Amino acid sequence: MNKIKAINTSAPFLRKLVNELYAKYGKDISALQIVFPSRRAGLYFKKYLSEMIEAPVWSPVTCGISEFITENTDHLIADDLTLIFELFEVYRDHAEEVTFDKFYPWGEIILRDFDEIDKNLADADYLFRILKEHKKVGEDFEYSVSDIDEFYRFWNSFSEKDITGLQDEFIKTWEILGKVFHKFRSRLISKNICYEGMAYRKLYEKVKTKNFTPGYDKIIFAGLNQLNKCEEGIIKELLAEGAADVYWDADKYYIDDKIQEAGKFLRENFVNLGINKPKWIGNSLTESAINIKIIGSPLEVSQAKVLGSELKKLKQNAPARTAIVLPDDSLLMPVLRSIPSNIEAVNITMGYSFKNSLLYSFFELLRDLNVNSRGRGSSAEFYHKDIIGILLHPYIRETAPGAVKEAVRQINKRNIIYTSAKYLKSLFSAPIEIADRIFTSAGTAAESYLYLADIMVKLSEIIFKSSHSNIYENEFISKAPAELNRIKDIIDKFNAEIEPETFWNILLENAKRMKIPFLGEPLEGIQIMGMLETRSLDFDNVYILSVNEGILPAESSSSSFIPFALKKAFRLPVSEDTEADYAYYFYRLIQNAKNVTLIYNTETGVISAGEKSRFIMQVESELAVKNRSIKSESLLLQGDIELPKRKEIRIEKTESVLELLKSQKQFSATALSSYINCPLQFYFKKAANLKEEEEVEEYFSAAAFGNIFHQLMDILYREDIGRDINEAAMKEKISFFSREYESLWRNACEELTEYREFGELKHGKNLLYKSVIKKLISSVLFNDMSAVPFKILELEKAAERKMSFEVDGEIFEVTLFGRLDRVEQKEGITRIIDYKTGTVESSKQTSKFSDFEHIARIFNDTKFKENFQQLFYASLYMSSNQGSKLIVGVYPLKKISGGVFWFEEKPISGDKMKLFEEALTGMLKKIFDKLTPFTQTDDLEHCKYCPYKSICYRD
Amino acid sequence: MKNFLIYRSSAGSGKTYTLVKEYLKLVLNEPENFKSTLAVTFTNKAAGEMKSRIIDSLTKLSRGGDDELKQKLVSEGVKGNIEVLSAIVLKNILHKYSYFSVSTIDSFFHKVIRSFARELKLQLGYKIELDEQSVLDKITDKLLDDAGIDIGLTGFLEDFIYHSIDDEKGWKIDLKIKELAKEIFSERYLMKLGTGSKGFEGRNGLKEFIDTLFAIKKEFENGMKQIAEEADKLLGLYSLVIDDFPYKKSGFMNYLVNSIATGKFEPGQRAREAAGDINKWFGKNSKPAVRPAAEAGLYKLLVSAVENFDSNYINYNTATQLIKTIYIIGIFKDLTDQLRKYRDDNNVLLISDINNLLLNVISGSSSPFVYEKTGSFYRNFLIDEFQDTSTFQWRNFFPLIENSLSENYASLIVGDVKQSIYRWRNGNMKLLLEEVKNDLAGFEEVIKEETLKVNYRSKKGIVDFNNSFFSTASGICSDEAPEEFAEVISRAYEDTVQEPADKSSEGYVRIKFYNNDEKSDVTSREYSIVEMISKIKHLLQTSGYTQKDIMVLVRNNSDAVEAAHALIDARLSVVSSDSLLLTNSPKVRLLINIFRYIVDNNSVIAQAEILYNYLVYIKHENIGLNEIFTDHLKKENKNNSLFNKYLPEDFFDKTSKGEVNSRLSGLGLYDLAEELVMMFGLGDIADTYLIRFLDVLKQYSAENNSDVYGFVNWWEENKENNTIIVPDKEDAVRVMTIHKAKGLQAPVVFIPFANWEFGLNSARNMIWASSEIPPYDTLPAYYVRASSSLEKSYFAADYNEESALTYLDNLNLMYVAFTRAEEMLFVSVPQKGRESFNAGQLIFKTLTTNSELAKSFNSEFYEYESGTLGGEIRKTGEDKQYNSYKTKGMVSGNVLNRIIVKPEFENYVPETNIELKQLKNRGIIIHKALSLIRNSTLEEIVRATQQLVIAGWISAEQKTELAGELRKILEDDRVKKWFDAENVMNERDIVVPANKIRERNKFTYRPDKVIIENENASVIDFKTGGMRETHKAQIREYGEILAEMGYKVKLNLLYINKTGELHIEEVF
Repeated sequence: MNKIKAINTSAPFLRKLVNELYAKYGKDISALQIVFPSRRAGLYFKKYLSEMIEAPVWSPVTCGISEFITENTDHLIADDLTLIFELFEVYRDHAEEVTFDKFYPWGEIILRDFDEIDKNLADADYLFRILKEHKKVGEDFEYSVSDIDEFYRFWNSFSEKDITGLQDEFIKTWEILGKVFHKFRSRLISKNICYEGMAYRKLYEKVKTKNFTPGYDKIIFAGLNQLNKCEEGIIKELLAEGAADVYWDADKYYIDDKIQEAGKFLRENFVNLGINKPKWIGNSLTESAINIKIIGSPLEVSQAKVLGSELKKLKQNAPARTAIVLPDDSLLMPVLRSIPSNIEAVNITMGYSFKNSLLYSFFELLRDLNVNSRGRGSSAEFYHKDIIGILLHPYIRETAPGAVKEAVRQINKRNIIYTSAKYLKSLFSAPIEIADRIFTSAGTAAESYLYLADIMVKLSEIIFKSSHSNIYENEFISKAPAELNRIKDIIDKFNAEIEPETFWNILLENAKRMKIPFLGEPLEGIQIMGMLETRSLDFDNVYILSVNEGILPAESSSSSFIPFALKKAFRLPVSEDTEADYAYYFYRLIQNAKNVTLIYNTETGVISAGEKSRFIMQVESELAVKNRSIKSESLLLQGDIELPKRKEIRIEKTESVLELLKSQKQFSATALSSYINCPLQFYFKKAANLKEEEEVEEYFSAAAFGNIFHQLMDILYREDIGRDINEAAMKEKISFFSREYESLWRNACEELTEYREFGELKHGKNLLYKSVIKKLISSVLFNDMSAVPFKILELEKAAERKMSFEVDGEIFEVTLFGRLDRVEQKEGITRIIDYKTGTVESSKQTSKFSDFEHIARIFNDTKFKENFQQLFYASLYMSSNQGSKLIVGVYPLKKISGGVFWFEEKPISGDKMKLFEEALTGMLKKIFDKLTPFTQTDDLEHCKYCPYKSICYRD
Repeated sequence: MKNFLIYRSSAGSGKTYTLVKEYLKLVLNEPENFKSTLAVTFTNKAAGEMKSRIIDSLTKLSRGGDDELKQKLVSEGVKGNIEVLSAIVLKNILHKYSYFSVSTIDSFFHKVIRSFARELKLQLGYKIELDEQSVLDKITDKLLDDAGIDIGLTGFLEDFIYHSIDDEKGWKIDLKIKELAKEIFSERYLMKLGTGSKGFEGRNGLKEFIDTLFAIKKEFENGMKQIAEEADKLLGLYSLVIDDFPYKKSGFMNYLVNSIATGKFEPGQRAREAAGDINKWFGKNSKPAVRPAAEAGLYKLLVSAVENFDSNYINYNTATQLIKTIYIIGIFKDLTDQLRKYRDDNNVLLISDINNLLLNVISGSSSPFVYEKTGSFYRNFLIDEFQDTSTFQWRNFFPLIENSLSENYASLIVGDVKQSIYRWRNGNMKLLLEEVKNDLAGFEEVIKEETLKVNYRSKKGIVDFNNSFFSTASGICSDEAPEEFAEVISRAYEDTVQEPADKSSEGYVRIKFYNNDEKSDVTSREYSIVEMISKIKHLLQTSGYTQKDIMVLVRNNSDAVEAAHALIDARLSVVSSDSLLLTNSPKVRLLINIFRYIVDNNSVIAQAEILYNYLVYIKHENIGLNEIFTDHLKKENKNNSLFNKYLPEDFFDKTSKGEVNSRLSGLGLYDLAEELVMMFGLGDIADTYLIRFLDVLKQYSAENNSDVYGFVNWWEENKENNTIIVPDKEDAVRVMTIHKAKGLQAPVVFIPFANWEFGLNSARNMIWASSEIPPYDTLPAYYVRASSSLEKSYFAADYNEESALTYLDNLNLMYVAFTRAEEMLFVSVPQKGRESFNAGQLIFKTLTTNSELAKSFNSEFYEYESGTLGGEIRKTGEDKQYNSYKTKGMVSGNVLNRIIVKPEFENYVPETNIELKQLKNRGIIIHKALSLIRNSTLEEIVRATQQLVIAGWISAEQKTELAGELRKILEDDRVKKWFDAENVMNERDIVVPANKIRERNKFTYRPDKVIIENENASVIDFKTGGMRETHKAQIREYGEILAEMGYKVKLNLLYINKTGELHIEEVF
């Protein structure tokens, strides 16, 4: 007949179970129902069963405990979103005004509280009446309360003195909950749906009143730990009827020692269910040899890398008996990226937060795009940051990388802040179908749904078609529609009440909480799983990451309306229970393992403490001490810290460098002053031709500010070139300016095509700057008024001159170039004026030095860069206007009240000009000199505004 | 012990030891006490350390170790068997770990807030935002965005900008707001002007006041200028010039005419004398016209100028100082409102909100209720670093402590006013100095103060030096400080003198002053650095110190960068916040460069940097730099370019060379980085910088999104804040700011730039000032620049107090710095020439004033030296508990192609059609429904459809239509009989023997339906779409297996096509 294979006690729990049941029932095993903590165990159970049998058999029915409950109840358990919405419907009849999206998270808590009340058979009427009627009720509460001390303590805090504002707030909510509880339940029943706790309670009542007929010969409850009062009652009843059997997966180590929280529930279960000889209590933890390696490693990714390095050592064939346990699912991605090539197959079985997916971030971007848009439908205008965010999201970027990048570049270049879909379309070099769908704005919640659903359809086509889509992202895309359907149902019912913003908020709130249950092929490859997924399973090699407080044990979501003391009083689960549950998972997982590696984060967060888990300390100071066969080793990751010395950048003037220099058509004052600032900067700019990147200018940059200012000044004086300006003309100009500022502004922006977008400003910082410019120009005009009469000679005039010089016997000729903002004549003196928007170091430029010294400084010290520029302009102007009497000045717009700042009141002397030009030639010679390399400046101050500073590691 | 203990713990006095000891006393006397004891400290690191110290001590005690501690505990009253008690407590803690409450103040308070979320009307699932500056940036932008919409605001902001321009501060209003408005996060603001302050309605109420200020300013200026003009006229009238009067250009007439006209209103000594006595106007050689001119009015003008100044200047100056920042105060309220909105919209709490919010909870509530909600009940409180506790934090603790004291439980606080250096982070050392005792009036009997006198950290020489030094220095400092507030300094330093634990041990102190050398152009700072390096090298070579024994302390980050660079250049290993920056790693830079290039492949700078970093720093290729930087110019000839030649082939698109592989651009941020690490071979070592950078990417993706573009911009703003974490063991000289060094120590300490300013700096410091004098009583307080001219304003008292406290802050910094040294302390003072009161001057004065110290001060070489160099070296105990774990390289792989995931919604595609008939998923849905249906009754159909709705397969409105279709199918007799058969196996597994499996790892088979009648088994499998051979093969396999089980088998495939028609195919 059947061979019963001999097994030792440390065999996997499920194998032992199969052995036991097959020995007992043989082929009739098919008529059993086996209830595990989770469904997953069934797969392993069947695998072990297949190892026992000689011929095919019908498998017994296996299921998780919650499935067992739900399949035996009449009402279907609805999804959370539906439930919360139903709850909201009831709740808002009793509470002040509240919107659904604000209610959502609170609704979730209420739901959980109700769920726990039912699962633990708490008397909701007593619970919710306690506060309101505590003065008149006395002893009749006491019998319904299990922990009377806790109850009185809580009660006392309310009867003390006066009730404070916060207590009042609390009572208000509490009273509402009391009213809502029953109404909510009857509402659900009328719709033939329920929440899980209701189903539990219903089945409990059914079993208790003997109205339950099991569909199987026997129900086997296997591997359970924490039982709520419903489960406990059901099992107890079935056991009494002989309709059930129970099997436990326990170890003496934590059962016998009462302080071990891992054994808390089992000990309770044995008592409550009246079990004298529980099957099975092993003794692995006190006797088996287990290698435990504990590795501390900073932050998160490094844990995955440590794992990778450990997995490399894994022997062939081992993967099938190996599990990587991730109590924190956000480590999945780093772990997948850290699996060495010796591991052939990897199987993911865990709940993974939707929040960590690309799709979620795409939803967020869509939300922002819609919520921040102005106007609806085809006239909607979108905010540039949102547009760019969407376009550069991997999903969209990948559809047409070229066209997308070009469009983004255009948006930046044209300073687009808000723009319409139509305009946006014109920026795409090739049509992008999905973009057309994205850039329309939905007016109602229902439209928003359709909008999103439509995008999802298109998106899935693109993604599924794509050759390099990855399997887990695809999983999200496949599952998202199911979520959307739920939201759609709610919108269909309440469209009128839901704003589009609310739609997006519900969507994201809901999505944030969603976990995608990856279902893998658990019999092959290395297993990556969450902590809950390990229940009832055994592995030889176990790697657990994030073994830190708050993650393992998990921080119980302590959000609840029911205060701690009342929870205790009514035996509702508190955080200690969650911790005890996790302790059991932890010890159970290592009790049958051979090699255990615990990896934890050594770094403390700012709010979260991030300390290593108590389980590590328990292992180190108790388990490893008690069981000498356990080898425990504690290690701290020491990463490689190698920072190469910074390298000097020095460009020798080879032939090719000189060629590049020679090919430069012209040199401006700015370019040459950058040589004074840093020769290497000059090289990057003029020889290597590394163009600066275009910046996103959401607001006026200094450049835009200056350009528009210049343009306005140009427009204002343009007609006057060559004319004498007297007081009357000035007066007229001033009044014209203040009258016509709006249209002048528009013209200026129009003329400067790249700032066209600024022409129509309706609000925001730019509008302020527009006023500033008005004020500045008024000041300039008033200053000009005090200078009448004068004559404008040139405005925004391009000037250039050639300069030749000899280096090493070779003659070079270069063109010097500059744009003179304003040239005017007053009392026979020509005045060149430059408007400066930046900071002007005017005080340093007064020439308290001799001409010779002054010129020397100009070519040595960047603080004199305005002076350099002025003399440079003078030189340009002089070359075609020989013999002019010339003074140069700047209009520092930051200090406009002081008027023009003249470097020297007297016209520039010929001698000084000559000195300047000689020095300039000297500098040009140095630039072209083969023996003088381009080197980095020593003064880090010079690097502050350099666009190339990151090349030099000086940013 | 049922006392409230106040421990004053000077540097090195074993503060943590004392806290641990006190904690142990509590829990050993009563093992359950650990549940009701809360110990708080400032940083998580400190809390973690304290936790592990407690557990370590308990472990040792329970194993019969740590005799010294045991004796101490016994002598301080712990009864019973300490070994046994420790074992019990340890076990209790380890198994009820959540009750083990040693945490930071913030996390304790946050826990309380969380449990009151509903009552405080907080949104659930809020995040704690730590980056206040970025929030301020956002709300400032938002505020400015309202310009043009909110007319009042627009006008105010315009005035603000105009005024800034007039004030020569430029037009970039946002920068100004962002700089000044940080204050709205501070406690000072909340206390002075914050929510609920009377009389502060923001800019709306301010307009009039600002006008008044300008009027005061104008009136005074005009008055004075008029005097000057009249004087000038009179001079002209009498044909006199300034030189005709005594002292000429530096005399009173210059004051009257020129100084006043240029805004220098304050009369000097000569002007005052001349105003007091007309005879001072003439000398022997005076021009004859001087007297008549004086008598005709010049004298009177001078008198009235001086009088006007004396009676109105303070008012004028107050207004003038106030005008500089009054506009920012005007928009504080707007910003506060924006902030509130920001919190709501983004569902965040700022870290600074916690204390303030908590005030609402705690002050209004009875402590028991607070405990009920949080679920933890504390009786004993141990508060560490009390000098840094803020007013709000104390107010929040107060009711709890009061409650515990009145129930006769013990608590204690530990702190040292001398080490209070976090006033700028709201720390209020006055609490420790006096206020705590005042607040606890009524509990005088149980308050016990103790000073921890022994210094366990430093050798005798150091302790003695610091004793003398700070006794004298605090006196000098308080002499320098404004009189009425000086006392706080001397009181803070009352308990300066310590006893060294080891009386015999040596110790070395050297202080040296340097001057700039005009001739050789070497600055005093450079001297100081050169000296430091040579001393360090000498120590390393001769006295057995290793690099990690040395700590270099500086005042601020830029000093740290300078010192660190110098040390690195001298080939020393250095750990400094700068050397830890991720952005200094070429690999990190390369990744950032590539990100930038992926976002914008027109960026030639990014391209040049990729090449430069990759070829020069990573591959160490020998290629000319010019070629690298000009490579982008070869655009036309891509095949020839280094970029295409050297970069990994996979980086580019196969079809269009030069384009980045689109596979890369389709990856999320983190994935992309890992892919690039693989592609560019950056995982050769376990590079800490690189791994940390991956962490940054992961975290960024979690908090924002996976978008590369957003990250690149974010990184630009935040790269200065991202550093690696170095284990303390690293053998390197530690360079850090004094603030960071608090709580740390080292055998050798260098302080290379001991010349920091002691006074307030008007460019940096702002203060809150108030006055009762109208119109300055308009607001409860003003936020003004801490300019010394406030001394002549109605805000003088506030200024002087702040000034005294600032002296104390800086003296404290010196105290913290000097007391870090265990064995050797090197201080150098680079002098700058003319200087205001600073650290260097204080040191000099102290060394020359204190007679003991003066003995060792060589005034010729400006050098102090005491103790001897060398001597025996104390070896610091290594952390032996943990060994190092090293990985060989960094695994970076891609297993996506090796993943097995069984999709639940296989083949289900998103679609928007409402009509079920038109759905592409129709077949899949019906198949799913049939699998859920157990018999052909209507209830089953309804149940199944509803299940599909709940699972999201169909929408609610499709339910009825689906039910109809199902009914049609089930009404078909051929189908109905299968569903209503008596003995059906629905989706039931058949397990096959492992040794006879047909396919690897396939142990089970699951036909849709098997109807069993005696030994006959009829298999039905539902299929959608067209008929396929594979369907037949599959059902035949079922047949074979069932045959092996002894059944006579019949096989049927049920097809439901797209239009819902049924087709039954019998298979043989």
